Amino acid sequence: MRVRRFANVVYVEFCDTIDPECNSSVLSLDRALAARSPDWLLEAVPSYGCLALVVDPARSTKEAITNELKEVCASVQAAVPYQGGRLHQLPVRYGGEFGPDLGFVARSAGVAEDEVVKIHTSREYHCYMLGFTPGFVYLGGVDDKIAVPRLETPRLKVAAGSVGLAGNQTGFYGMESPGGWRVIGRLQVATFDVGKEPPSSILPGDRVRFLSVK
Amino acid sequence: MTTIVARPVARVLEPGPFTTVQDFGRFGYRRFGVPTSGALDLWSLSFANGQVGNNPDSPALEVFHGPMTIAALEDIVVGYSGKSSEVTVDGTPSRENPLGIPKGSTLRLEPHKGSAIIYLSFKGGLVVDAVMGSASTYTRARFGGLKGRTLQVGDILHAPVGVYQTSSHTVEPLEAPERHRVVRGPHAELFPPESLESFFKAEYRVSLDSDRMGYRLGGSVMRGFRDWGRVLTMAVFPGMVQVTPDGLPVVLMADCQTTGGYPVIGEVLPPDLCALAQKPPGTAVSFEEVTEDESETILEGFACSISYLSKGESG
Repeated sequence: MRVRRFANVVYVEFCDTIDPECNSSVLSLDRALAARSPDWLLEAVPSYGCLALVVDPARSTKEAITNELKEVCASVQAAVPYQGGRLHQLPVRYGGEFGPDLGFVARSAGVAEDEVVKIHTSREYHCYMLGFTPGFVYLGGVDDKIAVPRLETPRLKVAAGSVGLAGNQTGFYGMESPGGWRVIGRLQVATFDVGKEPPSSILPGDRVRFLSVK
Repeated sequence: MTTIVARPVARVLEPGPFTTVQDFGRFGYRRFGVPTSGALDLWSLSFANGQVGNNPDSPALEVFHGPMTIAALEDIVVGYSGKSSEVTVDGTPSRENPLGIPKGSTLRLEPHKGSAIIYLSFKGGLVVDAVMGSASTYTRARFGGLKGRTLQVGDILHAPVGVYQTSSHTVEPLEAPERHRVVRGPHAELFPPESLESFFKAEYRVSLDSDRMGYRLGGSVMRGFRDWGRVLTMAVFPGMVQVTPDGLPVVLMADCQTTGGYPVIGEVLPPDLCALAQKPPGTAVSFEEVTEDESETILEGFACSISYLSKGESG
Protein backbone atom coordinates (compact mmCIF):
# COMPACT_ATOMS: atom_id res chain seq x y z
CA MET A 1 0.00 0.00 0.00
CA ARG A 2 1.24 3.44 -0.92
CA VAL A 3 0.01 6.82 0.31
CA ARG A 4 0.76 9.80 -1.90
CA ARG A 5 -0.43 13.36 -1.57
CA PHE A 6 -1.01 15.76 -4.46
CA ALA A 7 -2.06 19.17 -3.15
CA ASN A 8 -5.54 18.65 -1.65
CA VAL A 9 -5.88 15.01 -2.79
CA VAL A 10 -4.42 11.98 -1.03
CA TYR A 11 -4.36 8.69 -2.93
CA VAL A 12 -4.18 5.49 -0.91
CA GLU A 13 -3.10 3.01 -3.55
CA PHE A 14 -3.50 -0.73 -2.99
CA CYS A 15 -2.92 -2.21 -6.46
CA ASP A 16 -3.09 -1.29 -10.12
CA THR A 17 -5.13 -4.25 -11.30
CA ILE A 18 -8.83 -5.07 -11.52
CA ASP A 19 -9.08 -7.55 -8.69
CA PRO A 20 -12.07 -8.06 -6.37
CA GLU A 21 -9.92 -8.79 -3.32
CA CYS A 22 -7.83 -5.68 -3.74
CA ASN A 23 -10.98 -3.64 -4.36
CA SER A 24 -12.40 -5.03 -1.12
CA SER A 25 -9.40 -3.58 0.74
CA VAL A 26 -10.15 -0.20 -0.83
CA LEU A 27 -13.79 -0.44 0.22
CA SER A 28 -12.92 -1.57 3.77
CA LEU A 29 -10.74 1.49 4.25
CA ASP A 30 -13.47 3.67 2.75
CA ARG A 31 -15.98 2.28 5.22
CA ALA A 32 -13.64 2.60 8.21
CA LEU A 33 -12.87 6.22 7.36
CA ALA A 34 -16.55 7.01 6.90
CA ALA A 35 -17.22 5.62 10.38
CA ARG A 36 -14.53 7.83 11.94
CA SER A 37 -15.42 10.85 9.79
CA PRO A 38 -12.26 12.87 10.54
CA ASP A 39 -12.84 16.60 10.16
CA TRP A 40 -10.08 16.97 7.57
CA LEU A 41 -11.81 14.54 5.20
CA LEU A 42 -14.09 16.31 2.73
CA GLU A 43 -14.80 13.47 0.36
CA ALA A 44 -13.62 9.93 -0.39
CA VAL A 45 -13.84 8.31 -3.82
CA PRO A 46 -13.08 4.60 -4.25
CA SER A 47 -11.90 3.20 -7.58
CA TYR A 48 -10.58 -0.24 -8.60
CA GLY A 49 -7.40 -0.30 -6.52
CA CYS A 50 -7.22 3.12 -4.94
CA LEU A 51 -9.08 5.29 -2.44
CA ALA A 52 -8.88 9.00 -3.19
CA LEU A 53 -9.35 11.42 -0.30
CA VAL A 54 -10.04 15.12 -0.69
CA VAL A 55 -8.58 16.78 2.37
CA ASP A 56 -9.25 20.17 3.93
CA PRO A 57 -5.86 21.83 4.34
CA ALA A 58 -7.28 24.37 6.78
CA ARG A 59 -8.31 21.68 9.26
CA SER A 60 -5.34 19.47 9.70
CA THR A 61 -1.64 19.19 9.21
CA LYS A 62 0.06 16.76 6.88
CA GLU A 63 1.34 14.80 9.89
CA ALA A 64 -2.10 14.50 11.47
CA ILE A 65 -3.57 13.18 8.24
CA THR A 66 -0.73 10.71 7.67
CA ASN A 67 -0.88 9.44 11.25
CA GLU A 68 -4.62 8.99 11.29
CA LEU A 69 -4.47 7.14 7.96
CA LYS A 70 -1.81 4.80 9.32
CA GLU A 71 -3.94 4.09 12.37
CA VAL A 72 -7.07 3.40 10.34
CA CYS A 73 -5.20 1.20 7.86
CA ALA A 74 -3.77 -0.86 10.69
CA SER A 75 -7.21 -1.37 12.23
CA VAL A 76 -8.69 -2.27 8.84
CA GLN A 77 -6.04 -4.88 8.12
CA ALA A 78 -6.63 -6.44 11.52
CA ALA A 79 -10.40 -6.50 11.07
CA VAL A 80 -12.58 -8.86 9.07
CA PRO A 81 -12.15 -8.26 5.33
CA TYR A 82 -14.88 -6.39 3.50
CA GLN A 83 -17.93 -8.58 3.18
CA GLY A 84 -19.71 -8.21 -0.13
CA GLY A 85 -22.66 -5.83 -0.13
CA ARG A 86 -26.13 -6.62 -1.29
CA LEU A 87 -27.03 -8.80 -4.26
CA HIS A 88 -29.14 -7.09 -6.93
CA GLN A 89 -30.99 -9.10 -9.57
CA LEU A 90 -31.57 -6.69 -12.42
CA PRO A 91 -33.95 -7.40 -15.32
CA VAL A 92 -32.52 -6.58 -18.76
CA ARG A 93 -34.03 -6.51 -22.24
CA TYR A 94 -31.23 -7.70 -24.50
CA GLY A 95 -30.73 -6.91 -28.18
CA GLY A 96 -32.86 -5.02 -30.68
CA GLU A 97 -33.30 -1.31 -30.05
CA PHE A 98 -32.18 -1.84 -26.42
CA GLY A 99 -28.90 -3.52 -27.29
CA PRO A 100 -27.65 -2.29 -30.68
CA ASP A 101 -24.24 -3.96 -30.26
CA LEU A 102 -25.47 -7.44 -29.29
CA GLY A 103 -25.03 -8.58 -32.89
CA PHE A 104 -21.44 -7.31 -32.99
CA VAL A 105 -20.59 -9.13 -29.76
CA ALA A 106 -22.17 -12.35 -31.06
CA ARG A 107 -20.23 -12.14 -34.35
CA SER A 108 -16.93 -11.41 -32.66
CA ALA A 109 -17.50 -14.28 -30.19
CA GLY A 110 -18.63 -16.57 -33.02
CA VAL A 111 -21.82 -17.53 -31.20
CA ALA A 112 -25.56 -16.79 -31.48
CA GLU A 113 -26.99 -13.70 -29.76
CA ASP A 114 -28.89 -15.92 -27.32
CA GLU A 115 -25.62 -17.51 -26.30
CA VAL A 116 -24.09 -14.08 -25.51
CA VAL A 117 -27.09 -13.37 -23.29
CA LYS A 118 -26.70 -16.76 -21.62
CA ILE A 119 -23.02 -16.08 -20.91
CA HIS A 120 -23.67 -12.54 -19.67
CA THR A 121 -26.45 -13.65 -17.29
CA SER A 122 -24.55 -16.69 -15.99
CA ARG A 123 -22.32 -14.81 -13.54
CA GLU A 124 -22.57 -12.64 -10.49
CA TYR A 125 -20.52 -9.47 -10.95
CA HIS A 126 -18.71 -7.46 -8.30
CA CYS A 127 -19.37 -3.72 -8.32
CA TYR A 128 -15.95 -2.08 -8.12
CA MET A 129 -16.99 1.53 -8.28
CA LEU A 130 -19.24 4.18 -9.75
CA GLY A 131 -17.75 6.86 -11.90
CA PHE A 132 -17.29 8.65 -15.19
CA THR A 133 -20.88 9.97 -15.31
CA PRO A 134 -23.61 10.09 -12.64
CA GLY A 135 -24.62 6.59 -11.65
CA PHE A 136 -22.40 4.67 -14.08
CA VAL A 137 -21.72 1.30 -12.43
CA TYR A 138 -18.45 -0.56 -13.14
CA LEU A 139 -18.70 -4.35 -12.86
CA GLY A 140 -15.88 -6.75 -13.52
CA GLY A 141 -15.26 -10.40 -14.23
CA VAL A 142 -16.83 -10.80 -17.68
CA ASP A 143 -16.24 -14.13 -19.45
CA ASP A 144 -13.33 -13.78 -21.95
CA LYS A 145 -15.59 -15.25 -24.66
CA ILE A 146 -17.69 -12.08 -24.82
CA ALA A 147 -14.94 -9.55 -24.02
CA VAL A 148 -14.97 -6.92 -26.78
CA PRO A 149 -13.13 -3.63 -27.32
CA ARG A 150 -14.90 -0.31 -26.87
CA LEU A 151 -16.48 1.45 -29.85
CA GLU A 152 -13.93 3.30 -31.95
CA THR A 153 -16.17 6.33 -32.01
CA PRO A 154 -18.23 6.79 -28.86
CA ARG A 155 -21.97 7.42 -29.25
CA LEU A 156 -23.10 10.94 -28.43
CA LYS A 157 -26.17 9.62 -26.68
CA VAL A 158 -26.58 6.38 -24.77
CA ALA A 159 -29.91 5.81 -22.99
CA ALA A 160 -30.11 5.58 -19.21
CA GLY A 161 -29.97 1.95 -18.07
CA SER A 162 -27.99 0.79 -21.11
CA VAL A 163 -25.89 -2.27 -20.28
CA GLY A 164 -22.50 -2.30 -21.95
CA LEU A 165 -19.31 -4.30 -22.40
CA ALA A 166 -15.71 -3.04 -22.52
CA GLY A 167 -13.02 -5.68 -22.34
CA ASN A 168 -13.62 -7.80 -19.25
CA GLN A 169 -15.78 -5.13 -17.75
CA THR A 170 -19.52 -4.80 -17.91
CA GLY A 171 -21.59 -1.97 -16.51
CA PHE A 172 -24.52 0.30 -17.04
CA TYR A 173 -25.32 3.97 -17.51
CA GLY A 174 -27.21 5.63 -14.65
CA MET A 175 -28.28 8.56 -16.82
CA GLU A 176 -28.38 9.32 -20.52
CA SER A 177 -24.87 10.34 -21.57
CA PRO A 178 -22.29 9.95 -24.31
CA GLY A 179 -20.48 6.62 -24.14
CA GLY A 180 -18.14 4.19 -25.85
CA TRP A 181 -19.11 0.84 -24.35
CA ARG A 182 -20.74 -1.82 -26.58
CA VAL A 183 -24.40 -1.73 -25.60
CA ILE A 184 -26.10 -5.13 -25.45
CA GLY A 185 -29.27 -4.41 -23.50
CA ARG A 186 -31.15 -2.06 -21.24
CA LEU A 187 -32.12 -2.35 -17.57
CA GLN A 188 -35.85 -2.44 -16.94
CA VAL A 189 -35.37 -0.73 -13.58
CA ALA A 190 -33.89 2.67 -12.72
CA THR A 191 -30.82 2.53 -10.48
CA PHE A 192 -30.08 6.25 -10.25
CA ASP A 193 -32.28 9.08 -9.01
CA VAL A 194 -30.87 12.51 -8.20
CA GLY A 195 -33.66 13.07 -5.68
CA LYS A 196 -32.76 10.02 -3.57
CA GLU A 197 -30.17 9.61 -0.87
CA PRO A 198 -27.95 7.90 -1.84
CA PRO A 199 -28.75 8.64 -5.49
CA SER A 200 -27.65 5.17 -6.66
CA SER A 201 -29.28 1.94 -5.47
CA ILE A 202 -26.15 -0.01 -6.50
CA LEU A 203 -23.07 0.71 -4.39
CA PRO A 204 -19.41 -0.31 -4.58
CA GLY A 205 -19.02 -3.75 -3.05
CA ASP A 206 -22.52 -4.84 -4.09
CA ARG A 207 -23.03 -7.78 -6.43
CA VAL A 208 -25.13 -7.77 -9.58
CA ARG A 209 -26.76 -10.57 -11.55
CA PHE A 210 -28.56 -9.76 -14.78
CA LEU A 211 -31.82 -11.49 -15.70
CA SER A 212 -32.97 -11.63 -19.31
CA VAL A 213 -36.59 -10.54 -19.71
CA LYS A 214 -38.71 -10.21 -22.84
CA MET B 1 -36.21 19.99 1.43
CA THR B 2 -37.09 23.27 3.12
CA THR B 3 -39.33 25.47 1.06
CA ILE B 4 -38.09 29.01 0.82
CA VAL B 5 -40.62 31.59 -0.21
CA ALA B 6 -39.21 33.30 -3.24
CA ARG B 7 -40.03 36.48 -5.08
CA PRO B 8 -39.24 37.21 -8.73
CA VAL B 9 -36.47 39.81 -8.97
CA ALA B 10 -35.24 39.79 -12.56
CA ARG B 11 -36.08 38.64 -16.06
CA VAL B 12 -33.40 37.45 -18.46
CA LEU B 13 -33.35 39.50 -21.68
CA GLU B 14 -30.03 38.29 -23.12
CA PRO B 15 -28.79 35.08 -21.47
CA GLY B 16 -25.25 34.99 -22.86
CA PRO B 17 -23.75 31.85 -24.40
CA PHE B 18 -23.36 29.85 -21.18
CA THR B 19 -24.77 31.45 -18.05
CA THR B 20 -25.59 29.12 -15.15
CA VAL B 21 -26.41 29.27 -11.44
CA GLN B 22 -23.42 28.09 -9.37
CA ASP B 23 -22.35 27.91 -5.74
CA PHE B 24 -19.32 26.10 -4.29
CA GLY B 25 -20.54 22.77 -5.68
CA ARG B 26 -21.79 19.47 -4.29
CA PHE B 27 -19.54 17.45 -2.04
CA GLY B 28 -19.66 13.78 -1.20
CA TYR B 29 -21.22 12.60 -4.45
CA ARG B 30 -18.21 11.99 -6.67
CA ARG B 31 -18.35 8.41 -5.39
CA PHE B 32 -21.66 8.12 -7.31
CA GLY B 33 -20.16 9.57 -10.47
CA VAL B 34 -21.61 13.02 -9.77
CA PRO B 35 -19.19 15.89 -10.51
CA THR B 36 -18.65 18.63 -7.94
CA SER B 37 -19.70 21.40 -10.35
CA GLY B 38 -19.83 24.83 -8.70
CA ALA B 39 -18.09 28.02 -9.80
CA LEU B 40 -15.07 27.62 -12.08
CA ASP B 41 -13.51 30.56 -10.26
CA LEU B 42 -14.46 30.14 -6.60
CA TRP B 43 -12.54 33.23 -5.58
CA SER B 44 -14.51 35.53 -7.90
CA LEU B 45 -17.82 33.98 -6.78
CA SER B 46 -16.83 34.72 -3.16
CA PHE B 47 -15.87 38.25 -4.14
CA ALA B 48 -19.19 38.95 -5.90
CA ASN B 49 -21.12 37.56 -2.93
CA GLY B 50 -19.03 39.63 -0.53
CA GLN B 51 -20.03 42.81 -2.35
CA VAL B 52 -23.67 42.35 -1.31
CA GLY B 53 -23.11 40.76 2.09
CA ASN B 54 -24.01 37.23 1.04
CA ASN B 55 -22.15 34.18 2.29
CA PRO B 56 -19.18 33.42 0.01
CA ASP B 57 -20.86 30.27 -1.32
CA SER B 58 -24.33 31.72 -2.02
CA PRO B 59 -25.77 30.76 -5.41
CA ALA B 60 -25.03 33.39 -8.06
CA LEU B 61 -24.90 33.63 -11.84
CA GLU B 62 -21.76 32.49 -13.62
CA VAL B 63 -21.69 34.56 -16.80
CA PHE B 64 -19.30 32.55 -18.96
CA HIS B 65 -18.21 34.44 -22.07
CA GLY B 66 -21.01 37.07 -21.79
CA PRO B 67 -22.62 39.46 -22.53
CA MET B 68 -25.74 39.09 -20.47
CA THR B 69 -28.70 41.43 -19.88
CA ILE B 70 -31.41 41.30 -17.25
CA ALA B 71 -34.37 43.54 -16.38
CA ALA B 72 -35.07 44.26 -12.71
CA LEU B 73 -38.62 43.34 -11.68
CA GLU B 74 -38.24 45.32 -8.45
CA ASP B 75 -35.53 47.50 -6.91
CA ILE B 76 -32.58 45.16 -6.46
CA VAL B 77 -28.97 45.27 -5.33
CA VAL B 78 -26.34 43.19 -7.13
CA GLY B 79 -22.61 42.60 -6.84
CA TYR B 80 -20.19 41.43 -9.48
CA SER B 81 -16.65 40.23 -9.94
CA GLY B 82 -14.06 41.48 -12.40
CA LYS B 83 -12.60 44.95 -11.99
CA SER B 84 -12.68 45.63 -15.69
CA SER B 85 -16.08 44.13 -16.38
CA GLU B 86 -18.15 46.31 -18.64
CA VAL B 87 -21.30 47.11 -16.69
CA THR B 88 -24.14 49.34 -17.86
CA VAL B 89 -27.51 50.26 -16.35
CA ASP B 90 -29.99 51.37 -19.00
CA GLY B 91 -27.04 51.88 -21.33
CA THR B 92 -25.04 54.08 -18.94
CA PRO B 93 -21.67 52.66 -17.80
CA SER B 94 -21.35 52.16 -14.05
CA ARG B 95 -18.47 51.30 -11.74
CA GLU B 96 -20.57 51.01 -8.60
CA ASN B 97 -20.24 47.71 -6.79
CA PRO B 98 -22.58 46.87 -5.09
CA LEU B 99 -24.94 48.33 -7.59
CA GLY B 100 -28.57 49.26 -7.07
CA ILE B 101 -30.87 48.70 -10.02
CA PRO B 102 -34.29 50.34 -9.93
CA LYS B 103 -37.38 48.37 -10.92
CA GLY B 104 -37.80 48.39 -14.70
CA SER B 105 -34.14 49.14 -15.46
CA THR B 106 -31.84 46.85 -17.38
CA LEU B 107 -28.39 45.68 -16.37
CA ARG B 108 -25.90 44.55 -18.99
CA LEU B 109 -22.63 42.82 -18.15
CA GLU B 110 -19.76 41.81 -20.35
CA PRO B 111 -16.48 40.28 -19.20
CA HIS B 112 -13.41 42.37 -19.99
CA LYS B 113 -11.59 41.06 -23.08
CA GLY B 114 -8.86 39.48 -20.97
CA SER B 115 -11.23 37.46 -18.79
CA ALA B 116 -13.77 34.74 -19.39
CA ILE B 117 -16.22 34.94 -16.50
CA ILE B 118 -18.22 37.42 -14.41
CA TYR B 119 -20.11 36.36 -11.30
CA LEU B 120 -23.31 38.27 -10.66
CA SER B 121 -24.68 38.04 -7.12
CA PHE B 122 -28.06 39.24 -5.84
CA LYS B 123 -28.46 40.59 -2.33
CA GLY B 124 -30.00 37.74 -0.34
CA GLY B 125 -28.92 35.13 -2.89
CA LEU B 126 -30.84 33.27 -5.62
CA VAL B 127 -33.44 30.63 -4.94
CA VAL B 128 -33.31 27.42 -6.96
CA ASP B 129 -34.05 23.84 -5.95
CA ALA B 130 -31.04 22.29 -4.30
CA VAL B 131 -29.96 18.95 -5.73
CA MET B 132 -27.71 16.84 -3.51
CA GLY B 133 -27.16 19.80 -1.25
CA SER B 134 -26.12 22.30 -3.90
CA ALA B 135 -27.69 24.89 -6.20
CA SER B 136 -25.00 24.32 -8.82
CA THR B 137 -26.04 23.55 -12.38
CA TYR B 138 -24.65 20.43 -14.05
CA THR B 139 -25.89 20.84 -17.60
CA ARG B 140 -24.61 17.53 -18.98
CA ALA B 141 -26.92 15.56 -16.72
CA ARG B 142 -29.51 18.36 -16.67
CA PHE B 143 -29.88 18.87 -12.94
CA GLY B 144 -29.29 21.66 -10.44
CA GLY B 145 -29.60 25.41 -10.94
CA LEU B 146 -32.44 26.58 -13.12
CA LYS B 147 -33.98 23.37 -14.53
CA GLY B 148 -30.51 21.91 -15.01
CA ARG B 149 -29.68 24.16 -17.95
CA THR B 150 -28.11 27.43 -19.02
CA LEU B 151 -30.26 30.55 -18.73
CA GLN B 152 -32.63 31.33 -21.58
CA VAL B 153 -34.45 34.44 -22.71
CA GLY B 154 -37.47 35.05 -20.50
CA ASP B 155 -36.22 33.09 -17.47
CA ILE B 156 -37.26 34.65 -14.18
CA LEU B 157 -34.73 34.78 -11.34
CA HIS B 158 -35.97 34.50 -7.76
CA ALA B 159 -34.55 35.75 -4.49
CA PRO B 160 -35.68 34.71 -1.02
CA VAL B 161 -38.47 36.68 0.65
CA GLY B 162 -37.52 38.30 3.91
CA VAL B 163 -34.23 36.47 4.10
CA TYR B 164 -31.28 38.77 4.29
CA GLN B 165 -28.19 36.78 5.01
CA THR B 166 -25.59 39.04 6.41
CA SER B 167 -22.02 38.09 6.08
CA SER B 168 -19.24 40.50 6.73
CA HIS B 169 -16.57 38.41 5.05
CA THR B 170 -13.98 40.27 3.11
CA VAL B 171 -12.27 38.52 0.27
CA GLU B 172 -8.52 38.81 0.27
CA PRO B 173 -7.00 39.70 -3.10
CA LEU B 174 -6.20 36.59 -5.10
CA GLU B 175 -2.49 36.04 -5.17
CA ALA B 176 -1.99 33.91 -8.22
CA PRO B 177 1.19 34.42 -10.20
CA GLU B 178 1.18 34.65 -13.97
CA ARG B 179 2.57 31.13 -14.31
CA HIS B 180 0.06 28.71 -12.80
CA ARG B 181 1.55 26.76 -9.93
CA VAL B 182 1.40 22.99 -10.31
CA VAL B 183 2.47 20.02 -8.21
CA ARG B 184 3.57 16.87 -9.97
CA GLY B 185 0.67 14.42 -10.42
CA PRO B 186 0.30 10.71 -9.71
CA HIS B 187 1.64 9.70 -13.15
CA ALA B 188 4.36 12.33 -13.58
CA GLU B 189 7.09 9.76 -12.97
CA LEU B 190 5.89 7.74 -15.98
CA PHE B 191 6.66 10.57 -18.40
CA PRO B 192 10.12 10.82 -19.92
CA PRO B 193 12.12 13.70 -18.36
CA GLU B 194 12.06 15.73 -21.58
CA SER B 195 8.24 15.61 -21.67
CA LEU B 196 7.98 16.75 -18.07
CA GLU B 197 10.46 19.50 -18.76
CA SER B 198 8.54 20.67 -21.79
CA PHE B 199 5.31 20.72 -19.75
CA PHE B 200 6.83 23.14 -17.26
CA LYS B 201 8.59 25.24 -19.90
CA ALA B 202 6.05 25.39 -22.69
CA GLU B 203 3.66 28.19 -23.42
CA TYR B 204 0.24 26.76 -24.19
CA ARG B 205 -2.90 28.44 -25.43
CA VAL B 206 -6.44 27.82 -24.20
CA SER B 207 -8.29 25.98 -26.98
CA LEU B 208 -11.68 26.96 -28.35
CA ASP B 209 -13.26 23.68 -27.26
CA SER B 210 -12.66 24.41 -23.58
CA ASP B 211 -15.70 24.27 -21.34
CA ARG B 212 -16.79 23.76 -17.74
CA MET B 213 -15.57 20.16 -17.91
CA GLY B 214 -12.04 20.91 -18.99
CA TYR B 215 -9.76 23.52 -20.50
CA ARG B 216 -7.88 21.98 -23.40
CA LEU B 217 -4.51 23.48 -24.11
CA GLY B 218 -2.79 23.69 -27.46
CA GLY B 219 0.94 23.93 -28.00
CA SER B 220 4.03 21.80 -27.58
CA VAL B 221 3.25 18.07 -27.78
CA MET B 222 4.56 15.71 -25.10
CA ARG B 223 5.89 12.47 -26.51
CA GLY B 224 7.12 9.19 -25.19
CA PHE B 225 4.64 8.34 -22.48
CA ARG B 226 5.28 4.64 -21.99
CA ASP B 227 2.04 3.38 -20.55
CA TRP B 228 -0.72 4.62 -22.85
CA GLY B 229 -3.87 2.68 -22.20
CA ARG B 230 -2.37 1.03 -19.16
CA VAL B 231 -3.21 3.62 -16.56
CA LEU B 232 -5.92 2.04 -14.43
CA THR B 233 -9.05 4.16 -14.09
CA MET B 234 -8.88 6.15 -10.87
CA ALA B 235 -10.61 9.10 -9.25
CA VAL B 236 -9.69 12.48 -10.74
CA PHE B 237 -10.54 15.99 -9.51
CA PRO B 238 -10.81 19.57 -10.74
CA GLY B 239 -7.34 21.07 -11.16
CA MET B 240 -5.74 17.84 -12.33
CA VAL B 241 -3.95 17.98 -15.66
CA GLN B 242 -4.49 14.94 -17.85
CA VAL B 243 -2.47 14.29 -20.96
CA THR B 244 -4.60 12.86 -23.78
CA PRO B 245 -3.16 10.52 -26.46
CA ASP B 246 -2.45 13.52 -28.73
CA GLY B 247 0.22 14.56 -26.20
CA LEU B 248 -1.61 17.71 -25.10
CA PRO B 249 -2.76 18.69 -21.62
CA VAL B 250 -6.35 19.11 -20.45
CA VAL B 251 -6.93 20.92 -17.16
CA LEU B 252 -9.95 19.36 -15.49
CA MET B 253 -12.53 21.89 -14.32
CA ALA B 254 -15.54 21.91 -11.98
CA ASP B 255 -17.78 19.71 -14.18
CA CYS B 256 -15.06 17.13 -14.91
CA GLN B 257 -15.76 13.40 -14.91
CA THR B 258 -15.17 11.72 -11.53
CA THR B 259 -12.83 9.00 -12.79
CA GLY B 260 -10.32 8.92 -15.61
CA GLY B 261 -7.89 6.62 -17.35
CA TYR B 262 -5.54 9.20 -18.88
CA PRO B 263 -2.25 9.90 -17.10
CA VAL B 264 -2.29 12.86 -14.71
CA ILE B 265 0.93 14.84 -15.07
CA GLY B 266 0.16 17.49 -12.46
CA GLU B 267 -2.39 19.36 -10.40
CA VAL B 268 -2.98 23.10 -10.65
CA LEU B 269 -3.34 24.57 -7.15
CA PRO B 270 -6.85 25.89 -6.33
CA PRO B 271 -6.08 29.65 -6.33
CA ASP B 272 -4.29 29.32 -9.65
CA LEU B 273 -7.15 27.24 -11.04
CA CYS B 274 -9.38 30.28 -10.38
CA ALA B 275 -6.97 32.42 -12.39
CA LEU B 276 -6.72 29.82 -15.16
CA ALA B 277 -10.53 29.58 -15.40
CA GLN B 278 -10.58 33.27 -16.30
CA LYS B 279 -8.44 32.77 -19.42
CA PRO B 280 -10.49 33.08 -22.59
CA PRO B 281 -9.69 30.86 -25.60
CA GLY B 282 -6.50 31.91 -27.33
CA THR B 283 -4.87 33.21 -24.14
CA ALA B 284 -1.37 32.06 -23.22
CA VAL B 285 -1.00 29.67 -20.28
CA SER B 286 2.16 28.40 -18.65
CA PHE B 287 2.99 26.41 -15.55
CA GLU B 288 5.50 26.51 -12.75
CA GLU B 289 6.37 23.54 -10.60
CA VAL B 290 6.03 23.89 -6.83
CA THR B 291 6.96 21.32 -4.20
CA GLU B 292 4.46 19.46 -2.05
CA ASP B 293 5.42 21.55 1.02
CA GLU B 294 5.02 24.82 -0.87
CA SER B 295 1.64 23.66 -2.13
CA GLU B 296 0.38 23.02 1.39
CA THR B 297 1.18 26.55 2.52
CA ILE B 298 -0.52 28.00 -0.55
CA LEU B 299 -3.58 25.79 -0.10
CA GLU B 300 -3.96 26.64 3.55
CA GLY B 301 -3.87 30.36 2.86
CA PHE B 302 -6.40 30.04 0.08
CA ALA B 303 -8.72 27.85 2.13
CA CYS B 304 -8.76 30.41 4.94
CA SER B 305 -9.26 33.39 2.66
CA ILE B 306 -12.52 32.21 1.12
CA SER B 307 -13.43 29.30 3.41
CA TYR B 308 -12.96 27.23 0.31
CA LEU B 309 -14.48 23.75 0.57
CA SER B 310 -15.80 24.48 4.03
CA LYS B 311 -17.62 21.45 5.32
CA GLY B 312 -21.34 21.96 5.58
CA GLU B 313 -21.31 25.46 4.24
CA SER B 314 -22.54 24.76 0.75
CA GLY B 315 -26.20 24.34 -0.05
